[in-house]
Amino acid sequence: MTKFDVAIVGGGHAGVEAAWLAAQFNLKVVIVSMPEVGLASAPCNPAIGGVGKGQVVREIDALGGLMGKIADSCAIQYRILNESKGYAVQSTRVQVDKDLYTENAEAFIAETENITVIKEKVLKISSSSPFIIETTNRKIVSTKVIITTGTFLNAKLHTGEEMKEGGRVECQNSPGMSDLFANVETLGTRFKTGTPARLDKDTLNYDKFIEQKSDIRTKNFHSLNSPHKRFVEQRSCFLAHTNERTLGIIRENKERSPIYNGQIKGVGPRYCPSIEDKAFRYPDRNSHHVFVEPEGLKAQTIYPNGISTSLPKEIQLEFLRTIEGFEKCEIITYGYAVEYDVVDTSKLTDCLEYESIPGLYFAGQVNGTSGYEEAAGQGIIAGINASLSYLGREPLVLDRNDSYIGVMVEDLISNKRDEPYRLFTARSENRLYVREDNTVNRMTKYRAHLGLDTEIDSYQESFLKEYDLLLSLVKQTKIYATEENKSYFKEVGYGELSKNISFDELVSRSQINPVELLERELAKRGAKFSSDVIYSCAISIKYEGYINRASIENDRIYRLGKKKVNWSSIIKGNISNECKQRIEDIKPSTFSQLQRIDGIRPATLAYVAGNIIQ
Amino acid sequence: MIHLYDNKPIIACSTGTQSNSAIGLIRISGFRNLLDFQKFFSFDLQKIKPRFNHFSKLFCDEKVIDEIVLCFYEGPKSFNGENILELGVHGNQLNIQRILKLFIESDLVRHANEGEFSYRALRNKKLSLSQVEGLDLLLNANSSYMLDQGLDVLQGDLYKQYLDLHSSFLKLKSSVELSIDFAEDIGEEQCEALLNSAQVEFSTKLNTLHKRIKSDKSDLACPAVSLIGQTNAGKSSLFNLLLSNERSIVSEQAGTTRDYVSEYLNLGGNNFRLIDTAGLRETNDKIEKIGIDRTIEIASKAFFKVLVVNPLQTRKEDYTFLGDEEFDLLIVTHRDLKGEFKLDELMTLLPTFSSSIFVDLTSTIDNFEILDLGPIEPLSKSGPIEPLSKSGPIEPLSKSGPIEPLSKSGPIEPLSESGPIEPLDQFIENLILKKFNSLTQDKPLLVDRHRQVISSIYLDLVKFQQVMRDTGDIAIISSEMNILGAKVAELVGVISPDEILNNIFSNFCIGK
Repeated sequence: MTKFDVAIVGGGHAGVEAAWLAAQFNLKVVIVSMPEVGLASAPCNPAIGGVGKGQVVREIDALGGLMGKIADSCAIQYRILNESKGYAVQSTRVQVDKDLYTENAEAFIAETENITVIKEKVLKISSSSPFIIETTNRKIVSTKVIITTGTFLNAKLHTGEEMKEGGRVECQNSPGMSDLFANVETLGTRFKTGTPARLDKDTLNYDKFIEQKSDIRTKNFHSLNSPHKRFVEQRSCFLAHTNERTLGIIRENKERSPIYNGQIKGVGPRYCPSIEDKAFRYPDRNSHHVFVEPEGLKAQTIYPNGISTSLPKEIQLEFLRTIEGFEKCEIITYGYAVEYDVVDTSKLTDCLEYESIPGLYFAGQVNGTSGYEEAAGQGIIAGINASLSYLGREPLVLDRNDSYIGVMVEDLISNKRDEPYRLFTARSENRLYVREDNTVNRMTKYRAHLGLDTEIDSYQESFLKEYDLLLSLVKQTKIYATEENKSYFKEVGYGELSKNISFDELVSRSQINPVELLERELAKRGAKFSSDVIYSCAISIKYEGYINRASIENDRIYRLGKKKVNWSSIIKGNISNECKQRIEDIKPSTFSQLQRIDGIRPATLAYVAGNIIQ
Repeated sequence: MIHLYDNKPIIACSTGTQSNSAIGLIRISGFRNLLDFQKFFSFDLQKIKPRFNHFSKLFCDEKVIDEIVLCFYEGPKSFNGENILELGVHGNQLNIQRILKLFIESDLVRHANEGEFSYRALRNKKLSLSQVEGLDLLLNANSSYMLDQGLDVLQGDLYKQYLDLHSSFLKLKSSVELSIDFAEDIGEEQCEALLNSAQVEFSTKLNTLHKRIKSDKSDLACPAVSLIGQTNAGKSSLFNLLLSNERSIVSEQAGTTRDYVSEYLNLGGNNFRLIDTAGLRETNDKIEKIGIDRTIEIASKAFFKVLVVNPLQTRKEDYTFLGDEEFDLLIVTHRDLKGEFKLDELMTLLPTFSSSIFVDLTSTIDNFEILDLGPIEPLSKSGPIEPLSKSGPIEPLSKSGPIEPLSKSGPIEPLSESGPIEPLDQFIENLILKKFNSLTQDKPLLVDRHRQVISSIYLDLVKFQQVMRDTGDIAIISSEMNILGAKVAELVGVISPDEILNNIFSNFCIGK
């Protein structure tokens, strides 16, 4: 029997990230993954990043993760989302060449000597550390195990009336959670997700669509890549629309839709509805966006984003052909829905460790999240903490106030999920601070906690040094209200200069682009700083006042929330049995976690506020 | 406070414990099993029908101590969400106390704390905090206006308006979040249109509420009418005159004050507190000085202030205590002495008046004079007031003659030569009511917390709109909006990000 320090079951985005991190600690790592599937494959849309998600990819990158590196290596289109809406909510999204993505992920893992990849189906895992993992061919022993099985647990696929077992199209599934582990609880409800049909790219009429080109100004994800270097040829996406006929066909076939005829029992995400959901939930709307996205440079397929479906095959083709530009389309792979088991994340700790089975971790879609980025973000947390725990070191917990990964992990563990979880920027209370541009500022302390000394660590160290230097320069510089400066202000459009002002006051003036201003002023003074540092510094100064104001207000609102509570003494108090049960399940450690629990009565909160916190 | 969180069933007499009456109503709330109380009743509680009245004998150790009517309200449909048993007992206070004691000693219940039935309604989400405040207004109202508003907050339009403001805020917040997280799904143009219309809707609703906090409400919760003047100016005579028609209903508890007397005066369905204050004069006596200071304090809080003046004893020093106090009515007493003083000279000695009416109180109340000075707000103490000096004695007002539109300019003519004048007390009361009605016209809000929160939301909205104009940065806009939202939530309840997402998902089609 081969012995490993950390074993990862599942080779998707979460699994690969966990393995990559654990390997940096020089641990002996194994990935056990399904035979037919490549590592870090993208079974749904061909994109990495997005609003909120772009921040996650950069956070992963700053923690020393892999996702940004792979995405850069195969990005065929770059975009900055929300560009006109302010820096805090700007996010990067790239379209990737799916084949290249998996190819490069496999290469990164293969280059890492202490990661072994075993492509076999896992049948059973023993219930305490050291864990014995039984596959179809062998037994493996590992001190720590991270489960990243995605949608594969006890999964069923639906296309119209056709239903079969399988983790994704043309793939077998894994055993159910109860077969795999004796003592792990799943949620009572299963989750469901879906994907659209893939179309032959040569059967569409692109003249009918609106083109969206790659934006060369978008920065790469990986901080050590030169910011704007593109690694492969760029491609466009296109925008099409559904119409009344499209939705009409779907509405006529309601009883043939597995979601609406009761064949699928799992709960799907509201934020990523199938076209059937759109048809029935919004009966007044007929025109929905359909984004035509290439799946790769050489791939024959396009991904029509926005119309995932589990309708029968002939109806899929029928409704697709009603879309302008899709009249002659041919389907290469039909859309389907998948139902799968998810673990009850309220049983996990903030390290994503299963509380009652030390050494066992869960990350990714098996935790009821959706999205590659969410999966990778959890993978890196599980990978880091499994390793730190193996080494007997302090765990790493990200604060929800300075990272989206922190928001996600806390949201996951503080409630039972009732639908798949996706990150939105709205989930963060501190959105003005949790930005893409200041990722290094936010994450360096976490990366430093790992105590690894690699290229990325020295990059972050020098970035921060340069940043601090620039910031103190800006804070200390005064602009005097001389005649010369006054006319200069007028000339470049900085507004009035009626009295002496500090440089940072100028940068934060509301109608001026702070980045361009800082670049111009530094160049004028002959000061050389890297463009990333200028960018981050200018935006931070711009938001400083607003962040302070918001944090004062947040303190006022959430003052109580930060107080520690001892759940075991709460449940001894005079509160309803129902509340006791929920508190015992979640085991909140702060008042805000207690507040976040669904169904906690105001009386319980009042009791805790009045009696437990003093 | 600890008691409020204890879930033990509670008991209290709901019909007051001050005096005997025909019926007393005792409520027991929050028990699990009605049958626990069987030993007290001849009626078989298993046969009880919720919301029906049942006759029963009440037992104490198998001895009948009263004959009562029982009514059971089953939770969660009862007003506070708990099981409630109401006992209609004979309303002798001794009887009521004996019955309360009986139940409390059984240890099945404890005596309720003040407001605890409502607190439980709040806890069980049967009432919101604002509604509890409405209930408080309703139960402690001194005016029919306050009663109406209590009801309004509790179940009526006002509470709906708060909820409505809250839902407009959710819409506004949702439209911002939509524009950040789901712009691709919805389309930029639609996002912008939604944001704009949501903002207009929210500010319109807020402005409607804000109008209602513009006037000062301390006047209205328990409006006071104060009579102020020198010693022996005639305040007490006026006080007695106004109370002479037995309109006084409740006496202020005796012995609480030594320096003023007050009685309730019921006018047009509203209770006013009529206050006869200590006489003003300069003094070295410390105790008297305290009385005068209190008089000034009361004077400044009263919604309607009457200055009573004896012209022959008027010295400027006596009024310096009053500072910038504005009065609604000046009454000059001792008409018989009229010839011996000049009113314009008197005026220079007195504080300012907001009202334009002087009453010259004579020894006989049926025969008094009203002098119209025109608007006096800018009254400078030095400027002579011509019309007065010209007027001389005038004839009594006729009853039919409109009093309000007394001409504002020119010398004062006798208003009418015929008919007896409206009695003085009625004349003054009409003035008081007129001012009260003009203050309640905008339906001012009475609950302090609501006023503070609305005012603070209003200020934040102004700031917020400034930010909207200054920046296209929607992250900043959203951050400012959160500050606004926490306050809107204070008005109605608690808001969470999930609530906003729910609102998005139920109203918009998301789906990239």
